[in-house]
Formats: sequence, structure tokens, C-alpha cells
Amino acid sequence: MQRLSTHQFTMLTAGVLLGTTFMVSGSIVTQAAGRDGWMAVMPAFLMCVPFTWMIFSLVPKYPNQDLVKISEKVLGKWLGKALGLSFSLIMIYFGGLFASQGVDMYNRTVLPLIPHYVLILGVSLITFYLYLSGIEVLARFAEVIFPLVCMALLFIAIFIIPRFERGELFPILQNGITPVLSAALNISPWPFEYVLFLAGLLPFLPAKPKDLKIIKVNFFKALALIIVLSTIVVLVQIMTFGPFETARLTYGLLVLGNMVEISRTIAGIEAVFTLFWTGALTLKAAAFFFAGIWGLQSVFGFKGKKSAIIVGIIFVLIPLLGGKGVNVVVEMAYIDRYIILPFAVLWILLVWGVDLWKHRQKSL
Amino acid sequence: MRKSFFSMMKDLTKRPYTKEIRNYPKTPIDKEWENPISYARIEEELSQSSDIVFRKFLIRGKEEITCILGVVDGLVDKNLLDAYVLRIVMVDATVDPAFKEMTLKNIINSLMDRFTPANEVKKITRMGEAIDAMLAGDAVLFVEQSQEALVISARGWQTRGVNTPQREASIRGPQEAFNETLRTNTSLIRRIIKHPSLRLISMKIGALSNTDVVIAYVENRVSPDVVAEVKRRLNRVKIDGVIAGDILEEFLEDHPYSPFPQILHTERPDIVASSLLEGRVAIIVDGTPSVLIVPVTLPMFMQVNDDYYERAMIVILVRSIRYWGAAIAVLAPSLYIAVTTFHQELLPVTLALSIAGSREATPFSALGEAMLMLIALEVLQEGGLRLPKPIGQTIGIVGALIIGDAAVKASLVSPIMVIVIGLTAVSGYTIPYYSLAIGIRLIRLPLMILAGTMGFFGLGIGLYLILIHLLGLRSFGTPFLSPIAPLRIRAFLQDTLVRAPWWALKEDPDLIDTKHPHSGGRQ
Repeated sequence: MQRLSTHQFTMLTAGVLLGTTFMVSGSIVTQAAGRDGWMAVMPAFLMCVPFTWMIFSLVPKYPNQDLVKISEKVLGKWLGKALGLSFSLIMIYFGGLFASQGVDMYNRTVLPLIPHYVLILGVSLITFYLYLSGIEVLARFAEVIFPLVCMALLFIAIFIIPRFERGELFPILQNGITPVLSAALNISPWPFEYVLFLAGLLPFLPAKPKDLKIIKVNFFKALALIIVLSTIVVLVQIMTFGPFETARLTYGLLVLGNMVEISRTIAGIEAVFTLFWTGALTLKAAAFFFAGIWGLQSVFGFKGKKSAIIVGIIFVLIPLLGGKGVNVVVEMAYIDRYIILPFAVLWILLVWGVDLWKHRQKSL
Repeated sequence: MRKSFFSMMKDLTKRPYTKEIRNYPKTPIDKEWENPISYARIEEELSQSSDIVFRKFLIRGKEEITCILGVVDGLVDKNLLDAYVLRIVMVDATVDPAFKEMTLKNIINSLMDRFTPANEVKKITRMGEAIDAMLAGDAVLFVEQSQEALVISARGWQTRGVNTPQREASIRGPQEAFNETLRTNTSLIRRIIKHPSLRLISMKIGALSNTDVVIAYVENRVSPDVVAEVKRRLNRVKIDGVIAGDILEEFLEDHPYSPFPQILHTERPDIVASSLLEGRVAIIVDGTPSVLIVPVTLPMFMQVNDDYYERAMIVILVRSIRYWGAAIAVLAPSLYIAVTTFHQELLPVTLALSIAGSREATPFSALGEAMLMLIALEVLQEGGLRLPKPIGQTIGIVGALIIGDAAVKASLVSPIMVIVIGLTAVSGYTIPYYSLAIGIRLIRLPLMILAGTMGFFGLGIGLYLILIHLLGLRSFGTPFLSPIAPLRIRAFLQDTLVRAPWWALKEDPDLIDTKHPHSGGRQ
């Protein structure tokens, strides 16, 4: 079985946590919290910490098993399988929508004339190739892509500094803390997307007990990095556009990219950043695809590539036949808020709680 | 029975080192390979070839014994044989009392112990050993009616001397290159690594060529797994003849359908020696003036020996130029096509107008223009490569100046496209190894098509497919993009994009984890 190194785990965690959230984060948090939206990022991402801790606490007791198999052992075969199947369906469907949203981003900005299905097939091709290459290659992909995406974000932030209006940030907390918490709640499902991916990733983590400690520390490092990056991205947008315009622009970062100008040689390098955003998009789409197939493999005991091909076809059909434009963003927000967040919270709490209860019963 | 299309395709997708390649029908002499030596049978089989010489002579010991010296003309040192074998047994030793005591029973031992003053003499008993030794250039002394023989090392054929490297020129490094003689090549390595831990393991490959192959490695530096894997893959190779070591590459590499080379060829002993010290394995093949090195990683193909002889600050500049050159060689036409076709907003207005003006009269799209020019470039490169030097230069001039200029004047291509393709061609020459450069030429065309149809998005798709392919490649189990991914931070910072000064390197900045070559990276 393929195993990730602790460094690969960190990069994969950071890459999946970030995904393409930086594209829409500014818009979503400022809609709820206005100019204080940047404060919402940290509490939103910290919400996932207790749940990752619960997952990590199960690893030593159930080595080399994902949360689906652990659920079967803890909650019973049928309930475990039902939860596993739900997990797989959510991951595959959301992954398809995620690819669709990425493609919508291109259609609306740099490539308005390229047919929707061509872009979807392009993203799906990379996703499948990543799947066929294995989890180790996905982790290496994250090792290469995540630093590039970070550099691109920082590059935009640095080159947009001349357009900053610091006054846009003040007065701070004019409407109290409630809008910030509301904004945090709006984006709180994002880290739970990663938590669900982690639920499937468990068998591929380093097996040595000392590595688990390193993994826990590295998870916090990756989380801190993503919080800082996302906060910077939101801050930059608010300072450049002001809170009202930031809330209005769905893909504010793309507009920012268009405003970057280096001397008189290159202007509006939004299209160049497409190369990096495609990497971030496919990394996260592939993570969902991997997680979906892992779940199905655990539930039905599938092996080989045939099942992956069938799932792959479904994965492509979701964005091809589904909605386009803002509808996708809205649908994703609904799934995030009403399916992913509650499912992840309930599933993990249930497995962890029942396991704890069983162990206490045994020890009594 | 003829194989079906599907079974042929299945064969093609099998890893080459996991199967026996061919089965050959055995000749009559093959079947007698393990039999006791019979001079009459050997003479019958070999005397049909004009270069094989049998010299009969009599030894008068206690009894009269007929001896035969068998050699391949051209492969042995005749002076040495005359002086140290024939002259002694026919003239000088005849007065020795022990000589006169020789009988059919003890002649082989007596000759080996007392009357053959060559430095390498061996007693053999089997047909195969005798034939192998003769054809490899040794002299074999047969005794009529005896089932034993002596192999006397007297190899001596015309060889090319140790010349300067032709393909891997160096400004400050040693100026020696390998030649076609195996022992010369091993001696060039041994002269650099004078330590008993340097192991040279011999084997033969090729059903008919019987080519000598040597596996070289430094014990305790190399992973035993890698050495075992090299031996296993070499043992699996079953072909008629290894005409050159490069033939083995396709049998040995992990991914034979990849455009990227997974084995490094070098004609420089210093590169082989440094690779061995870094824990790699060298495969030296008789008759080949280059040595194969495994396992390798992509950054190795961007390094040259002068990087280690020049001062570190200079190397940072030179290496970065090389990496930029490689990037331009891969991307320049695709970027130009994507920008002019889809993303004109990237260009300042004056530049955009200038490009549009120059392309006004051309009938093709940017993709069509680039394809036309690139195909012309490839044809010129291939045409000029194997021509004699003066004609090759003429072809270059004709191609670059006359055809390029005429194409612009005829409005077939724009002047900017000529600049882009020219820059691409020149940048390609900054890649030190031909096998990588040609791989890059192969991936340039699909990238151009993707850029011409989907702009930066298509280019991104193509680049990510290549990246994923590279991330999945392994060379004898070692990840090909190591130390970038999986990250080996010290090697990445000290000897990948830049090289740290020698004094700052507390340990060798190994590009691969030699102890655990299959590991996922930094633990």
C-alpha cells in the first residue's frame, strides 16, 4: 500500500483545505460581515479542529482503516455501510459540482467562447490521470502545486498594494461581533470538506506511532498557513474594492489579477494565473474523487480500475448535465451548509462517541 | 500460431524486464556446450571461419604429444604468444629436465605451473568454456586426446585511444572520455575511485554477441535493493546481440513509453565516478563509449560536470540560465500562440499592435504558422545531424537564413514567429543531455495544439498532464522528480536549482535517498 510522508501529508492537507476557496471567500464573508469579513476566516477554519482531533484519536485503535471501515466496526455493519455510501455519494457529487464551478470561473472570465463541456473534460482528464497515478502522486502534485498557488496569491497581494485604500477597513467591528460569526458560519463547511477527505485518507498516513504526533502538529501548521493566506486574500480584496464591491464580485480575485500591472510590459495577467488556479482546482476535485472511490471500495469491496471508470463517468456527467453559472455556486453553498457540515459533524461525533463509550464499557 | 492484435497489444504494455524476450533455436554446438572438451569437434565447428587459426606443434616429453594453439586472428597479441608461449614450449623449455617428464596425463598441469609465463592462465574442461575464451580473444592451448585445455590471456586488438569527450565538452573538468574497450573504461573509473569498496561485477548478455557487461557500484553507498534490481533486469535481457549499451536502455527503464529518459548516458569517467559516490549504479558495456547510470532523477539531466568545478556563484547563474532555457524550449511557441490567439489583453497596446501588424499579411493562424516553422526546424535539425560537418553547417545556414528569410518575405510566416521559433531552438541547446532535449521536442507539439485550441487553460491541461506523468515516473524505483517531489529539502536547496559552495556542504547533497530509494520523501 502506498504511504505518504509527513511532509506530503502537510502539503496535501494545505492544498485540499485551500482548494479554490480564495476565489469566492471575499465575496461570501463580506456579504455577511462587510468590512470585518476578514475576521471570519480564522474562527471558520478553527471549527474543524475538534473533529480532526477525534479522527486522529481513532487511528491508533484502528490502524490502516478509513472512517468507513471504522464505522462498520464501531456502529455495526449496516449503519457503517450506509454512512460510507452517503459519504461516497456526497464526495462524488460535490466533486463534480466543484469541477463545474471551476469551469464556470473560466467561462465567465478568461475563456468565454470555449464550450463548457470542453473545459469540463479538460479538468476531468487531469483528475482521472491523478487518480490512476495513485495517492502518492496526488501528494507529490500537492507538493508542487500548493507552493505555486501560494506564490501566485502573494504575488497578486504585493502588486496590488498601490491600489490599497486602508480606510476601507475602518471602523472595525462597527456592527459588533455577530456579523463576523455569521460570516464564519457561512464558510465553516469548507474545512469540513477536508475533514471528510481525511476520513478516507487514514490508511495512507505514515504507520509509525511517532509519525502520528508529527502529523497532528503538521495539520495545525497547514491550517495556520491557510488561515493566514485566506485572511490576506480577503483583506486585499476589501482594501482594494471596498466591502460593497467585494461582496458583489463573485470571483473578486480574478478581477484583482486583471488589475496587476508590471511596468508597461505585462498588464492584466489574470490569464497567466489561470495556470495556477487550474492546479488548485484539479487538486481538490481529485481529492473528492479519490475520497468517493475509497468510500465505495470500503463499502462494496471494489478493487481494480473498472469501478473507478464507472464512477469517473458519473463524475463527468454531474457537471456536464448539471447547472451552470451562479446556480452551481448557490447549489454548492447549499450542499456545503446543509449536507457536508451536518453529515461530517454527526458522523465523526457518532463514531468517536460510540467508540469511546464502548471502550469505557470494556474497561469497567 | 499468429498472435491476435489484443495479445500483441498486451505484450507491448508488459514491462520489458518482467518477461523473457525471445527463445532461440539451439545450434548443434550449443547443445554440446557442457560436454568435455574435444579438440576435433571444436576444430570442425570453428575452422570454417577464416579468422580462426589453429597452430599445431609437438611436445617431446616422455611421450610425443600433439598440442594445438587456437586463437582468433586480430583479437590476440601475436608477439606475446610467440614470445611467451610458442617459443618457450618449442625452444627454450625443451632443455628443462621437467619438460622431458611430461606425459599426456600431466602435461596441462606442467604447462600451467612451469612453462607458461603469462599472467593469466586457467585450466578448463568444458567445450563452452573453450569456445567462449577463444571468441573473446584469449588463446586456448588444446592437447590432442585430452579433455582439458589451457586458457592463456593474450588479448590484444586495435583500439581507439582515450580521447576528449565529443558530446559532453567541459571547460574546467578532465578531458578524458570512455572508448569502446571495456577494460579501458573500468580502469578510467578505478583510477578515480581507488578504494576496495568499488565493486565491478561482470556478466555476459547477448545470445550470439556474448557481450561483456560490468555493473559498477560502491559498496555501502548504494542501496542493495537497487543493485539487486539492476542485476535482475539485466539477467532478464534475452537478445541476439548487444551491439551498443544504449540498446539495453529500453530493456531496463521503468517506463519505456515515457518521452523522458530514465537512464543517464555519459561518456565522462568523472561523472560516472561522482554518480557512484552518490550511491548510484553504473552499467558498462563492452564496445560502447558511454556508460549507463541508474537510478537518475530529472534534475541530474540539467546538471553538467562543470557545475562542480566552477565556483558556486557562477554555477547559480549558469544553472538558472539552463533551467530558463529548458522552460523556453518547452513553452515559448505555446505561450506565443495562446497570447496572440486568446489572451491579447496580456500585451501592452503598442506590442499588441506591432504583432498584429506583422501578422496582417500571413494567411495562417498563429498555431499554423508555428507548426510550419517547427516542422521546418525539426527537418533541418534531423537533416543536419548526420551530415559531414561542413555540409551540416551549410544546411544550418540555408535553413536559418535563406528559408526563414524567404518565408517571411513570402508572407508565409511573420517575423515575430521566426524569432520565437529561433529562440526556442537555441534554448533547446542549453539542455545538457540529448535524450532529454529530444523528449522535450516531442512534448512541444501537443502543447502548441492545446494552447492553440484552448489558450492558457489548454496549456495548463497539457502541463499538468506532463507534471503528473513526471510525478509518477520512477527510475529503478526512485521518484523521477526527487528531490522536488518528494521533497528532500537539503538536496533541493543545495544542489538542484542552485549549488551551494563545497565548503557549505557538510554531507553530499544526494538527489536521491540512497538508503531508502523507494521512500516517499522526507519523513
